[in-house]
Amino acid sequence: MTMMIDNTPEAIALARLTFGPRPGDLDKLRASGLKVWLDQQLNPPTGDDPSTLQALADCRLPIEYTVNSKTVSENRPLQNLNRDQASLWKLTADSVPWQERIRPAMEVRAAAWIRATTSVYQLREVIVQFWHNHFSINAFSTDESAISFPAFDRQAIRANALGNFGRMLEDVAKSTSMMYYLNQQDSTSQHPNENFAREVMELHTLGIGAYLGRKAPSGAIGYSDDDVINAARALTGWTVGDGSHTAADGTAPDDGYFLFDPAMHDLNPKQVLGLYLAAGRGQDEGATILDALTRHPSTATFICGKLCQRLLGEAAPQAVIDAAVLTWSALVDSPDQIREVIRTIVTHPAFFASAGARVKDPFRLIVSFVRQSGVRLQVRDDLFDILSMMGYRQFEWSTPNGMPDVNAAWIGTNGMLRRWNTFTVLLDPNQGFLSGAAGNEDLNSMTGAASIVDYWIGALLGGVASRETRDALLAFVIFAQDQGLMQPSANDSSGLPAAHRLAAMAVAASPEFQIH
Amino acid sequence: MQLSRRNFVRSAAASTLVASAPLSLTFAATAGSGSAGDILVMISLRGGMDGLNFLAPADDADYVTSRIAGLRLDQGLPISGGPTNQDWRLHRLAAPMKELYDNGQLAFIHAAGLMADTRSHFQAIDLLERGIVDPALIGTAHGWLTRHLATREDGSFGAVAASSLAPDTLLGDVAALSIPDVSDFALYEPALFGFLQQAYVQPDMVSAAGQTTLQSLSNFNVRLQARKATHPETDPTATSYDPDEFTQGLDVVTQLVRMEIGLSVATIEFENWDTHVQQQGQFERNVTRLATGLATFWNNLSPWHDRLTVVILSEFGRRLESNADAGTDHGHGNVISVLGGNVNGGKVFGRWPGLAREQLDLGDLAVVTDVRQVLSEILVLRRNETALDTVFPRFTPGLPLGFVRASGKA
Repeated sequence: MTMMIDNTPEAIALARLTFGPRPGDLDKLRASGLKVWLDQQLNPPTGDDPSTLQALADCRLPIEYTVNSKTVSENRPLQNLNRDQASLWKLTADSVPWQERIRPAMEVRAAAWIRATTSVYQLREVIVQFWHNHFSINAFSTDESAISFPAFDRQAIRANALGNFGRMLEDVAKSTSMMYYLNQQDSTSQHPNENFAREVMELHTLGIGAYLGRKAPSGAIGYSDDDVINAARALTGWTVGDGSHTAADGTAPDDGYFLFDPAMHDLNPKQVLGLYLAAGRGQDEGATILDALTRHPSTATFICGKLCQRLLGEAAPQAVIDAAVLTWSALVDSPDQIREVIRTIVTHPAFFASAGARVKDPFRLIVSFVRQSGVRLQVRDDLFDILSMMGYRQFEWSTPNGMPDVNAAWIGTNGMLRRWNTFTVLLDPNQGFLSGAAGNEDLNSMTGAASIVDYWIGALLGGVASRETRDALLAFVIFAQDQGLMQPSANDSSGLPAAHRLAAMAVAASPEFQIH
Repeated sequence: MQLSRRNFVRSAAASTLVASAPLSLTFAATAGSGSAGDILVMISLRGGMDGLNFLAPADDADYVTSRIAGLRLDQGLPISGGPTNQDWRLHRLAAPMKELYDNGQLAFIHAAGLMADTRSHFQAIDLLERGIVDPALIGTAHGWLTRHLATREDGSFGAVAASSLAPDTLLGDVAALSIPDVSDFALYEPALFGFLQQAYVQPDMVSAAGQTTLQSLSNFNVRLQARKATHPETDPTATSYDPDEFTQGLDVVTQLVRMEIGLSVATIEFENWDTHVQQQGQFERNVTRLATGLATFWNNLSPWHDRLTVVILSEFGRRLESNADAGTDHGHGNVISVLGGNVNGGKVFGRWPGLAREQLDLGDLAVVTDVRQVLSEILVLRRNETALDTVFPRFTPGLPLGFVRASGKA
């Protein structure tokens, strides 16, 4: 990339470790210093900050359906995010309408937007997005996955996002949402289902680079189809309490929690990844395999490589990956493992040499616009459609490999066109997506195309734009104002004057805004 | 769940076409003239389609003992032209495809696939779409369609992926269009066009992508407008498909073919074939959609049959033995379907390796026919490919299977 971009360390940190700086964030960071800011970001308190809690409480997500001549049509608050699994599991009853069953996943999706736009602890949200894609689930693939998605998001992903990988892996593997997605819950000794075991090795831990005789750089041996098949056998009995499975104590709970059913378990000895598992160890066999995967050198290189790719781009130098692997391995048992790996990566000189190396994914594209422009975004269903048209299927990517994390993925012909169109839609006064700029005297008192264009270059591009871009912006705003485009509408609650809409739309469509 | 993309933001898209905006008409010279060349349509069944639940010798003893009844073809449609003297049957819900087969327009190649051991979806797709077998080359190879198109200079506008992200077959082809919806391939705010042309000028990756997109928009919409001017009866929004990604893809390709604007290659995605659990219902729904969608597509394009070749394939087949969840796990060899006006249909091509224990590859149908053999015959006979070693490096084609013929030979 050769584009002009603010490449000071503080600007890079905010561009990459948050979803975009809000007005004033850069000054605050410069005042406190990078180290203090990073310490705060790496050590967020459990749960959301007060302003995010308020935004979550204020959110109303519509739900509409008619079942047995009973019609529900309401703007409903988010009620499922903190409900416990047993309570949500009651939604699996046959009498519950489908819209109510997918509602928990819809709410997690809405909450992801709110947290990304609002949270004070931005780095956590950036890393949560990474782990959700690493442990990708199509939350809408089964009713059980959708119903259990709040628990997966809250307990497996968010609680461990900056913590210990082994703990996260175990929580993910035992999560009802993932088990249903990868068909683990019905795997039996007679016919073990290999899907879960294969994807745990290929996608969650070792990576495809360790498949079929290929050795990790350390010389450690990878895995084969035999390892997949034997791991699947070892994991038989790992299932979900759905009333049909019996635990060792003889109970058959129907609460949607993880359960080990000894009757489903393969009692023969197994050999997995060079480990000998003596006959009849039961639930512990799966745990032993997950532990071995956690400690495997291929897991360290695979995941550190992915983290570096996310935070520095595809051209992340090997030196920073190597440094991350060292931290990863040294802290493999530590509750601070992931946060220290991230610290290693983002304090490495290579990080500060990577300004503009990443193309924003579609989610970040919109969230960064909202944060940097200082407007509020109404979270509603058609936002997911906008993302989907850009090829980004939030919590609905059909396959467990997750979405691609390479620049080229988002800027094909359809991708570029949809990026431009996205801001035409978001800023259309008839659409009612934006609010909160009303009463901003700075905006209303501004006159002249040049000052308006410069205001938006300041807000969205940190004040840095090429001469070609600025000239083109100016010509566009003057022309479009003449044509009377983007006039206010009765549906509009944003308070953005037409000239500001036009300038914001064009700046957001500029090449400089596509990268970070 | 499928949210409707189609109905979204129509109000914002009121003025959809950019043709009225100032354009740089790089392709104007050929606008509307189209190309009378062959059109190749690649349909990818994502997830590993169970070919043994689609086309198989129903009376094979190993077949019968390895699978539960719901995943066999006891109720299938008997077909002639099988590769052995067994009772070959096609899935009963594929009747519309059997009709095409009996009419000689549809051929099958069984026990075909990747000549690599992988049972990973993602690695198999990576290899298949790059036309290679060595995983070490995945990071550097472009898509095989990209290499094929790069060897041609025929005035066509090349490839269209009928999906929001293009598949890796087109990896590296910066000119490939990705069009999930024909009536929506336009700037919602046409006035932005001039701005974008002036702003996307730097020598960086994003600016290059923007320039390509702007050029594609001009090219596509100029051709579209020219076609509409001479053929006002063509209604590009006419559709008889249900809305999902596969049928929307068929819809996009149908419209592009009808418009005669120079389509050369199109790709269509059909997901949801990874049937580890309770396969029967999901598979039946998929086969119904595949067979009826394909037949509708074919009927909608009858004037173009001589120029159309449609290939339907999947990254791998599924295991012979069904699992405890009434599903099947990842396998190896599979069936490839080829539909076209110049296909020698009504026959199952390729040597059949058998389903006895010692004939299987790790419990799976073996791969006897390299997928590149199938693709090569189409490229050479239908698309005059003369640089096969560039399209499929390190691959030497064997004797032709004979499922497709060159133009002019009946």
